[in-house]
Amino acid sequence: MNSSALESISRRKGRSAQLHVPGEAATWVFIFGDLIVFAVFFIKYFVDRQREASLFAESQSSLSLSFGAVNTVLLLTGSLFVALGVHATRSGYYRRASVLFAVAMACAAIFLIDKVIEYTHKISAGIYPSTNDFYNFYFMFTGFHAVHVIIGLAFVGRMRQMVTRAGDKKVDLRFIETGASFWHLVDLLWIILFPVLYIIH
Amino acid sequence: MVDRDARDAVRAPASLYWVWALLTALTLLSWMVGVGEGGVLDLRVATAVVLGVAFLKVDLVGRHFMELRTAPRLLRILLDAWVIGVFVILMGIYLS
Amino acid sequence: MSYSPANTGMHIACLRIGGQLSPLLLTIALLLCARLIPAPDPTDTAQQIADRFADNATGIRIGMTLIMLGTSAWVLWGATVAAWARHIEVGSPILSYSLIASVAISEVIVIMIAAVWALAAFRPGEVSPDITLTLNDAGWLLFLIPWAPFSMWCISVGLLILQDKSSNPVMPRWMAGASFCFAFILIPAFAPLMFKSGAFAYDAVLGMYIPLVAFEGWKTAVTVTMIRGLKKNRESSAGDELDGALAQSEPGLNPAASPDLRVGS
Repeated sequence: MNSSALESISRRKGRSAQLHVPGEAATWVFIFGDLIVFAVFFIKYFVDRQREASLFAESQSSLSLSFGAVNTVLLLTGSLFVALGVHATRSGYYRRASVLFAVAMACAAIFLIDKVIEYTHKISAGIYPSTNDFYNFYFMFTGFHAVHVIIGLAFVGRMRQMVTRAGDKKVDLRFIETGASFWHLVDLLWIILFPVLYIIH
Repeated sequence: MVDRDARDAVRAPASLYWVWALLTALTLLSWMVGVGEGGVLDLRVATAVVLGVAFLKVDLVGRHFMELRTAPRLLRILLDAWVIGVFVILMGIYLS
Repeated sequence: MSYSPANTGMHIACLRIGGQLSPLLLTIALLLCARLIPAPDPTDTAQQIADRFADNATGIRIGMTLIMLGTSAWVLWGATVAAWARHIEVGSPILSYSLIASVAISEVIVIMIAAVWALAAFRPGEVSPDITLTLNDAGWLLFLIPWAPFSMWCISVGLLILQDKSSNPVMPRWMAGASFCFAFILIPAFAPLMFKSGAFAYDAVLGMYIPLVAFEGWKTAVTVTMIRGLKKNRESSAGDELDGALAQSEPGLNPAASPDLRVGS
């Protein structure tokens, strides 16, 4: 199955709209693959949590909910600006898109700085990934997610570079949409990670 | 380059800003429940609410930011299946 | 122009032997003979591990022999993928060369794992249990912590699929997304070195089973899609050849361009 097989003309609300796969089929295979892996991560976490509920609750209370919530809003804002940037790119407003992508990159950078601060707090308090099962999950899951954020940042950086240097030529919209979709995936994963690790006990 | 009419036709929908505002509000709501400002909600209900809201947010991000509303239905169906399936499984484990 | 080598039959055979027969053999060896999966607990005592090897010494020895045998087919599989890569790669065949190196690296790693566990099963109980413990650990760590060359293999194939500009690509573009995803999923395999218990140890779902299943899953996906693609190209180029032959039999008419079935040098 490829993108053109997926796309078709449909009538919605009296207007004909062409269905469009953001990026391409490969993009979505990656996204759903990653979603399935994280689903396994979450399920494993919940299963292990059941066995040691009080330990998990006690350790969890040392996490800063504010940091987690701020980080969530940062990624959500990044998503907004990435989506706006994609629309701007499609319309040909390349300079505007460049600025929008830059703001999204700033959101990602602040997220990563926050992460470093959080980790430093924990480690200087003597809490490591090997301290107990909860902290194992905490560091490993947020760490794996942080790798996603770094890659997302790189993607948006490349997207910004493309629109900045495009001049009068058209940019590769498929790549822009792929990068944007990956960014939204990063946001999406954190939206679940935050309540699972920080709130639910 | 691109003519004015075509530009306007592809302008970013206002819904993006509203969805962002809603997502941020839901984040704040979850945070409030988390710090115990959610009132005297039964713990299991609070968990269901917080987790359910999270999966709802995922669906909103998928539909509006990831442009799945204008994508082939299969992608929307797959995301919805993931959202519902994972939520049900996690709540099932939590409540067991 | 599509990729349809003259020895497509050989390609398909190599893919089947290396990508379907070999994994089956390895599964039987590890699961049924050696019974090293389910994996031992990294927190077990040396005596417990030594007992496990002593109790099933014969099974482990047979299993490791089968693994050594089954792994030999990987070169055929890897070479088939590399041949495709070389044909479709734009410019100098850098990624194609890396695929050849990748299959060599991965085969050597698996042989080393089997050798180490075979060693452990050679004199279990006769030597100090600490030695058996260490050899057991060595096998599991060698299994998992060199995840990066395997990810590199997946990424290279993914990049090649994206580069493929032929008219009937052997592997569909969505396989590139799958390859990158599998490459990513292997990353947690670094963790078993850091943790002896929890979800990321070498006996745990996230630390071992997911990377294992992911890598075998990728190999299977490549095998299945490539066989399908090669078969399709073989049929359509046979059709083209027929058209070309028919056209050529008509005097005065230009023969239809017959596909170049000689795979490039």
